[in-house]
Amino acid sequence: MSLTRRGFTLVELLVAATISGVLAVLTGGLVAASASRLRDRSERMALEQALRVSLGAAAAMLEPLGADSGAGPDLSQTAPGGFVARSSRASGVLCAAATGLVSVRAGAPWWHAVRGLVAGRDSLLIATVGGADRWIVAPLLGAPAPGACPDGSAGFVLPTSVSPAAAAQIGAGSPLRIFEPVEFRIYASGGASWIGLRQLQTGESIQPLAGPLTGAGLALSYTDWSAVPASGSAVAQVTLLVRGITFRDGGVGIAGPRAGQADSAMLAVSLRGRP
Amino acid sequence: MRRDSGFTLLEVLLALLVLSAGLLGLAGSLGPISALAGQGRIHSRVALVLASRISRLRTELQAGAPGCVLPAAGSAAHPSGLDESWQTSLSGNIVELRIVARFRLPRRLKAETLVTRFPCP
Repeated sequence: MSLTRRGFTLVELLVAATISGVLAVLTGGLVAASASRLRDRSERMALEQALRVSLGAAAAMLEPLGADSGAGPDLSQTAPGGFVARSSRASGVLCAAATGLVSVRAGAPWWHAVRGLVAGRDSLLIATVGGADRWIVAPLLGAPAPGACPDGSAGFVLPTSVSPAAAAQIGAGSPLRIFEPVEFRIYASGGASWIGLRQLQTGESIQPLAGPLTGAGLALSYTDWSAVPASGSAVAQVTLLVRGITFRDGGVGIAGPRAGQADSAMLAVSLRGRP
Repeated sequence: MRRDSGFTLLEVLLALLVLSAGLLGLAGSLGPISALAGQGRIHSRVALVLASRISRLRTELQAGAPGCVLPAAGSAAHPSGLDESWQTSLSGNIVELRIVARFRLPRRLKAETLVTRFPCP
């Protein structure tokens, strides 16, 4: 009985190894290229997200602001890298005012609050009644206390420091806004720059909102109604330019992350008021 | 004599060739996806221009409160190659803002229309 065992010859094996080697190099290159494309794309998406969140946060802060409320502009400090603004916490209508306290109508549709009021942190912006379009600023000195309105309807009392002269100018029907000064700016941390928010009255440290951005990644310009640079109560429009950046892990011999891609986006927000 | 059954070397090589052709095709199909991702960036910039315009028109609209001031129609060109034009109309107590943005995609021009309505107190 003859059993013929046929195997590959050495030459056949070498040819096969060469061909599959060439194919492996070709497909390996393609796989590497598409992996780097994928990484680029996910970086770009992260970048877009950072830009959108930055602009959205700034727009949400700026949209409700008035150009000039008669008690100074809502935008109290304007710098290229950030601003300080009155951020609304609640709004309502007065039903009475006296030296040192104001009575506020309670319940819908009169009273609307985003959060509970905090003495020392919140301030009152009260519109005068009878002609002059003017607002008075006063601090909130204590917790809201129960107390009905003079006409018997539901209400509460806010302790504040309204002078007798000011108390005479405000009263039933005066619109009321409760606000807190908030700082919005770019700051550096951990080798990158971020957009952050800080409550000024409590002296808290800045809290990150969005990023990472390039070193001068937030450029704000303040203009009047005809796009001429302006400051103070002349500011009617704020244009925001944000520049985002991504970071990659360092390669061989590179310590720490290195910069990846960068991109920028722009948004203009008009403040409320008379042009 | 016993005939050994199995693949010949030639068959295996052919199979490898077919498989790599398939992989090549798969890699090629990623191209258009990348192009779409690029268009997403353009559209997001267009959305920001439209948001800026709405912010401005809204302030103009409410400047005469109580009551509405109907903002004038207009147009503007942006350095990025985007052109926008806007119109306003009042029906009943609803103001309608209609903004058209024209911009360039890699192979064609595109127009996007945004319509938004504000109640007029």
